[in-house]
Amino acid sequence: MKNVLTLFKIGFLSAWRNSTGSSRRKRRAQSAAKATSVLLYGVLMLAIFGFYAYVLSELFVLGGDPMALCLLGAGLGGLLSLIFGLAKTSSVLFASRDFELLMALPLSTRQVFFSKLLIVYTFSFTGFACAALPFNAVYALQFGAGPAFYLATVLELIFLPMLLATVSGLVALLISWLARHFRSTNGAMMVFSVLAFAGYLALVFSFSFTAGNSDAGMLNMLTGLSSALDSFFLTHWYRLALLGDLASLVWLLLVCALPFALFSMFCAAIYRRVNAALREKKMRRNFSGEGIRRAKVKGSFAALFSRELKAFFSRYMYVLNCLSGLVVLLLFAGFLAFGGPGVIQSMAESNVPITASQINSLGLPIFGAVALWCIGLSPTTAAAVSMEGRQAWIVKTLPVSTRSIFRSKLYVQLLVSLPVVALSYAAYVLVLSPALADAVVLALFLLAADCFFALLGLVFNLRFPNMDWVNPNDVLKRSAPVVLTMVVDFALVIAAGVLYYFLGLPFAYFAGALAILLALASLGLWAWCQKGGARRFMEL
Amino acid sequence: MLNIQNLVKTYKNGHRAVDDLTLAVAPGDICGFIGPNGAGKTTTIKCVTGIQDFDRGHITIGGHDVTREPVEAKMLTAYIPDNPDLYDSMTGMKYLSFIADIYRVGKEERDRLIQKYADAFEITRNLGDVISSYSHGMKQKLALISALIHSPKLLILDEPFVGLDPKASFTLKEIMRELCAGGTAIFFSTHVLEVAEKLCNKIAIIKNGRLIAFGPIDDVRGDASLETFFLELTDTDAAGK
Repeated sequence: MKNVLTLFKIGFLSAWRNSTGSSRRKRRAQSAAKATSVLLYGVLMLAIFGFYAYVLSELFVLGGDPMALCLLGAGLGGLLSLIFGLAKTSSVLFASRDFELLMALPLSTRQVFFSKLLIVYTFSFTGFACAALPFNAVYALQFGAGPAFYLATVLELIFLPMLLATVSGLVALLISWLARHFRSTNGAMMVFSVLAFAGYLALVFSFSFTAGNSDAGMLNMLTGLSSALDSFFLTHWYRLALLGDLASLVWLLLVCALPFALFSMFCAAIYRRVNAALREKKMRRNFSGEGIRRAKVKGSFAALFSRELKAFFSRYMYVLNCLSGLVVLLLFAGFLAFGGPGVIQSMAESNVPITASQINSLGLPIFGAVALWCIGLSPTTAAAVSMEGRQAWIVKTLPVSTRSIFRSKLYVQLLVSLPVVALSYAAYVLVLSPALADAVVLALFLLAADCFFALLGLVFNLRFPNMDWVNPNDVLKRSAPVVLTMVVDFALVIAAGVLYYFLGLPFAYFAGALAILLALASLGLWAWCQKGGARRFMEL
Repeated sequence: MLNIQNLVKTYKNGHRAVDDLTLAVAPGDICGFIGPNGAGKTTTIKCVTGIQDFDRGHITIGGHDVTREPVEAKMLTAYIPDNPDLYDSMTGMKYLSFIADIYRVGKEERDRLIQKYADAFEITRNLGDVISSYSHGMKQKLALISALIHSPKLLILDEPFVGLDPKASFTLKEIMRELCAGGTAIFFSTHVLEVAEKLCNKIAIIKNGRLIAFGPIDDVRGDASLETFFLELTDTDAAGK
């Protein structure tokens, strides 16, 4: 047990301890800053869900079933936990980089596996507790609760994540098993994970859009939700357990713990075999004899570009992180295509049906804001320079200009994002048929936004690079350029929304002006890249 | 081919790694660059290859200034670091094709040279594997092949024999002699003085960032062995301080 806990501690906390400061004091400061940011992030999540639960509680009273608030909290927590699990479980259980190192230590496979499972459980618990805890707390404060409620809440917070960790583990196992049959195991894992992520999101979107955001819509949805939840045995037991029914509590805990125990035993037995199989060398092309003559010849920029593309697609986390915003945009476009103007109406929180002529006055700014937010969420360029890492010497010594290197990084972002942006734009234009001027301005605005965020990510990465990373997640998820680009994205969407609301300008004028501003800013950023940026790159 | 004049490089922490270093390597020269650990060998090499900026001085490769015409200078150069970190996700063949594409090596020429050097280093059947599965020695061999397939005019190697098996070391020495006969200039750092003594026609000795001896190997060492001369020189310099 001691070994399991030690391995868990190392595996779980290494990301936060991995500080690259030159002095002990700096490293301590970095660790403290990381710990503070995690704490603040946790508090923020709890506050947001708490506020959401507080707002919803009145509606649940109107619906006549306040206890459904707790069930909704558990549902949201479960979804969060599954999404966290999707991003983490595969990499922790079946693609961990330290597998060979750990297996070489005098530890049993079970000890190694259980330390990994503990990490997966911790992620499941965090995701679940983030939503379930504030919802239950709001329920207890608003409607009063007895000791049985608190006891059931604590036990469920501990046991329900076991079931979620089991589901995440099974999904990860399935993805790993399927991916193993492909020549590019890593690429297949990425595709399946993105598909599963899109599936989870589609579930939320369909739920949200069919419910509507108006009070009447929500009330209808909640009434339907209450009866639906009661017909499902898990949530039925959950409700009864919170109301003090001991038998339901015991059944619920058993249903959570038993599959977890079975999964643990099964996975512990196959853990070494699955990981070893995933690491097996695939039969590659044999270049003996005439084989070399099959190698293709490219131009120097095409070679740089395909290198950059390969660097992007060979990192599971890189792809998952950068595609998340674009997957949201794609799903939004899908719902727009299949749901028609009703989707805009539900997002506009209006009870009054909107006429065909009014739909674009609401739809254009909503679509523009969603697209802007999704495009800027996580551009590939925000980590592209840092990802060169210890291999930066290769591009630095090649006879290519820094301008070409930057262009290859920008093109990857554009190649990944522009088709999605174009597809969602096409869905909007085809479904809602805006005026020609609006459609043209919207296209230019999206193009300018895409270029702007690609360049902004690159500039931030050149200003705040991290070339000495050990864990790529330090660069892909927690680095200053990625966070800063995201902050600018949020700030820009909010500022643009507030300005649009207060100025009251027609969409074409407002979006046109914003597109010009973004284009000018892009030119400025590109000019800096070519001089100051090139200098900084060579100094790295 | 390589001209370094009054090179000065100071790190941000104030440490002067290279101090007023001047040397020249002509086509056909094999110049060994030796010195104790931390003397400034790798820093000098990194300045020459454009990996690091420097504070003062001039470096030209084939007449091209490395700061003003970096692309032209790099086009003539091949560099292999002491610990080659290559693109792990690429296969060996993809990596070689990438380098050949960048240096615009024609199809016939690249096929011929990849075949020649991959066979020489006995790595042909591994070229289809991803680099992450390579051992340190195999990575070193791949880096060497990538440096050789574009027929550089100046070959810069940082500790090239570390990690190579005896046969590959022998092959590399043969290739270095062959390139030198063809007019390629070679500038390499090493701690193996016997290799430097047998292979080089010029030697440069650096200590604490300063060049303390440079010239044709016979002129520099005189009648003593390179090892004796090197130890005497570096000890004397230390005692003098």
